[in-house]
Amino acid sequence: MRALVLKAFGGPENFELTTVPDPQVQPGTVVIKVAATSVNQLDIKIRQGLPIAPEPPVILGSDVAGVVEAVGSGVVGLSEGDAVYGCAGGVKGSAGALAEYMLADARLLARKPAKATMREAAALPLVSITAWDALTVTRLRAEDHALIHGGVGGVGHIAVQLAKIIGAKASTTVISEDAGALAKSLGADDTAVFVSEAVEEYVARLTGGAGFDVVVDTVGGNNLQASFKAARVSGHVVTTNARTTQDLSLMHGKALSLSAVFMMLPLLTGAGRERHGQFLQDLSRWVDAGRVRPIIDPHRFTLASAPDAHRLLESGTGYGKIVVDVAPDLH
Amino acid sequence: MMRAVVVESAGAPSKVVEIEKPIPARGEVLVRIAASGVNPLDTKIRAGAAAHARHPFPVTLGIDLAGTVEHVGEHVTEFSPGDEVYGMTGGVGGIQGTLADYAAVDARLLARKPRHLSMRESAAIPLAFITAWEGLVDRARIRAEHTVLVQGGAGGVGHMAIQIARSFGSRVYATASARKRQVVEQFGATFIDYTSTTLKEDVARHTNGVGFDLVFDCRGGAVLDASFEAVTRFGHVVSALGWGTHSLAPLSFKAASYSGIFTLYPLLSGEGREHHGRILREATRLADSGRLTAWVDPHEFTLETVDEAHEWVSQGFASGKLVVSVCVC
Repeated sequence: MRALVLKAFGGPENFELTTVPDPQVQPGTVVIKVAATSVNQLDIKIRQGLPIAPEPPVILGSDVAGVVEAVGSGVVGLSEGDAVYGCAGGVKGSAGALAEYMLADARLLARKPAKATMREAAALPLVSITAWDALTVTRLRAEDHALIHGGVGGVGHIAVQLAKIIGAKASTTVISEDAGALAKSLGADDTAVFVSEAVEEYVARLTGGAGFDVVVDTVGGNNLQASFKAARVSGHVVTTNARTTQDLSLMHGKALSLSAVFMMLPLLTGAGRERHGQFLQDLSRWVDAGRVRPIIDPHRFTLASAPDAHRLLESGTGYGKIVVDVAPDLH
Repeated sequence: MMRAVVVESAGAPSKVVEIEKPIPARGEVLVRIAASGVNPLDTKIRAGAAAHARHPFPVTLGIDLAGTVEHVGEHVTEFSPGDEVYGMTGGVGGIQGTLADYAAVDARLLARKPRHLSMRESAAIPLAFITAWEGLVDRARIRAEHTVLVQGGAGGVGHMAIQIARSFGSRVYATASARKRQVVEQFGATFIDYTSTTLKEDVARHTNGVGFDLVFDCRGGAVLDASFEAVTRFGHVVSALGWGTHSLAPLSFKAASYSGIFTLYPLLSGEGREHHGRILREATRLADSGRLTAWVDPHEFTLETVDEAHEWVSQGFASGKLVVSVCVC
């Protein structure tokens, strides 16, 4: 099969389009004929050699949408020809989706939303599972007011929509008024343009100074200090990036909780994979009901031009999720 | 008039003075104080090293009390004169402390004292128990199947945390110095000596290398860092002393959670005080069923020997919580 192989950790020039043996189906797995994959920030870090990266030469790409080509023994609920989606590889221990075929643990997959295109389905899994992990660990409730940083970013724009499904009030930080309008079209109740409004100002304007019950920090790092400021006393901050060293005195003085989300753990450890498949079933229902939709960048990429998809994401000029069409005829 | 212990300025010796007996306002009760528990925070406040406690000089210290309701203010229905009560009621936030004959106390902060514990034992409980409960129960949502590590298990908060975790049916491990081994064992924890072995080896030995579901840190600093290392995937660390700067990376790859416990907030802000009363009713319930007791140093201090008690706390001389006997009535 054709595959985009990462030859060594480093820049996107290290990808090479080549031919490799087709994957063979194993017990508990399916072989997916890949229609599309999407590029996540994590893919960039893995390409650069994050500790959870698989050893090159290797096929990257965690998100996948496609059609089941072969079903391994012991797999229930999936059949040949089913259109599926999931976040199923591209980390240590499993090959990714930048190839014509991908071997995937069936527990990580669900039937794709009927009303979503393959492109839309490929955009959803990693960011949606991350957003769901974040809202779940904070036990967000309908009576809560959540602040979601980056309301049109990958994780942020899904977190806004999932917070609304829970019934919570969802405010979000955005980089511009235009982005704010887009976030509101996804259901955000309020927005704050973080480049022109200080944390104290939007906390006062949106919460009367009390602070947010839950803060979803999709930026992390030093932005955590802004999140600590934005949270109410005894509130909960959750982040996708807790890899830095931080002064925790503000956090302690407000008796905050801080949770790290790391949605790849089930792929790396093998434990808890069925939770991902089950969540994606729920997500399909919500997508089909029009309650969740991904924002997708209009640029089109193929397997051959996928390195440019990485470059676009790294440039920061992309818009929403960046999708690679591996087999456009399957769409 | 009544007696109260006053410290005029940072580092000054305390003195016993006569001041007006307080009058309970609406929602308050007047408590005749039998015993006042000593907490490490008291020594930091009197040294002028606890800005977060917002207790400006001259101060009357003492956060915990046990005593008897003398009379009740307007709108107090839960308590009547003669009730024996305990609570974490002042000594921070500009609220008169418990090193005095009387205190006018927000009734929401109080609970009836445990039937089978003395006034001295009861006065050792409130701040420590509330801190441990907020960490284990409110934040980390402890369950029977959790394995729990208490860092500093022989301290005031630590020995409360061990007993609360045991009451939930959890398996509990506790670090302490070798001479406190019997203390943590007596409360039901497996002893881990933090001077002679590395925590990493203990985590491996006691949890098959996966780490503890819940780590309660009573010490802060490097011990909090070690706690981040000792927690398992999706586990929860709580700290009563998390004021420092720490690497969060060990939490990150384990998708773990961390909570800071700051028990003073309801006293400082007036918000959430009924929750403290509720937690102390849980303490009374546990104590009445024989599952909670306080480890109290037998040495009996008085209002005149408060400085000595604080010196004992600073120097680490105490064997258990120190309690000042205010009135033997």
